[in-house]
Amino acid sequence: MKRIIYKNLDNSVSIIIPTDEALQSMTIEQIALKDVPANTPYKIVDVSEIPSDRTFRNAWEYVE
Amino acid sequence: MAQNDLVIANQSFPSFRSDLNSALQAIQTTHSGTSLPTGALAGQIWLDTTNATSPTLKFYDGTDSISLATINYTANTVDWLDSSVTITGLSTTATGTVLTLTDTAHTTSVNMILGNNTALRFNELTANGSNYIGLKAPASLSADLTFTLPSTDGTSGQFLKTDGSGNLSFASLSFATPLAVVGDNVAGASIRLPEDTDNGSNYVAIKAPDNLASNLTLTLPSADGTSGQVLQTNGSGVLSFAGVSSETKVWVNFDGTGTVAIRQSKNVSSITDIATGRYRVNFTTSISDSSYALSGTAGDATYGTNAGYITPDHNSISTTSIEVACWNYLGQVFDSPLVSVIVHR
Repeated sequence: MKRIIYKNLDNSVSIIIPTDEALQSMTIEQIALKDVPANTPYKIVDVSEIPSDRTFRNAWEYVE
Repeated sequence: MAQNDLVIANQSFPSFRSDLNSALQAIQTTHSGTSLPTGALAGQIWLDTTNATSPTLKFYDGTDSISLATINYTANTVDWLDSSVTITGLSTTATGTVLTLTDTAHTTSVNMILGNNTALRFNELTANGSNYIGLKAPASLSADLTFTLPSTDGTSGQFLKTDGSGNLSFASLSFATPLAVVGDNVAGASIRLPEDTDNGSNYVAIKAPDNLASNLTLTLPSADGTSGQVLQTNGSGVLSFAGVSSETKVWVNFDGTGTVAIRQSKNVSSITDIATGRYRVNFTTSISDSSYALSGTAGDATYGTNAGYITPDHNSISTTSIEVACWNYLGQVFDSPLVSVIVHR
């Protein structure tokens, strides 16, 4: 499973989780182009790279 | 019935007279007998009476007797035996009527009979080959059957129909009673509408359910609806187009904890995990406007039955997505394990 990550204007991190229904008709790249804010760099990563401990979720940083 | 060698020998007058009468009688009876006449010469015709009621007329070629026809004394008919006999002028050089079957004795037309399931063949132009169209009777018939052709031509697109008594006529396609597709439903009794044959052989089929408690008639609308309308019934099988007053445009059920996992959804391309307890629901297909209604819940495992709730970020409401926050019953934003978001329009 893949996730799309990008940095918000306030330097926080957003993580996009594609739905199965969308993946039946779109690629994850197409979903990224649609759902990532315009002109925002993003990266597609494996879900294993996303922390599962959300204790400090708001403190997560996006390292390019 | 008599035969004679037709040779008058030198003899006394009584014998001569007797021999002459015998010869004349042989001529009168066409040399009737059960075997070739003694002294027969090439070119002689004689009647083989082996079958007394249906003798055979034969032609002697000097070696063999060739059967020409069988004469049926009972039916008073002649059956020509050699099917390869051709009649010059019947099919080659005649320019007018080439064959008329008429019973002159009774001044009525007679039948042409093609026996033993043989066919009447119509050949194509000789220059184009030797194919033909053949018409023939079924191999077995329980009774005589005669089709009488129409007295006049029909109009374009008409077809031949029968009145049930063998009288054919041209008629247009029409149904005085409901059109029935006859057959076993399991075997695919259906009305099929094929695609353009240039594109393949697929079709759209309309068929009944396999099991029906009673007859069901659906009456189509008398006019088309507008874009987006759906077919509805009045409960009596009368269909009409109607708009959908409202429907769920978007819904999603997801676990907002851990790495966030979406369980099921409709018209949702993705969930954006923005921060603790805050998520954006991204629509696959945009909604016509942003004047939609939002509802949802945020299940709170920590506090048991004290269900949480969601609120929209009013600055985020758009036709393509909406951001929601999950709140527990203490009024704290939290990561809910059971988030439901529903958008009605």
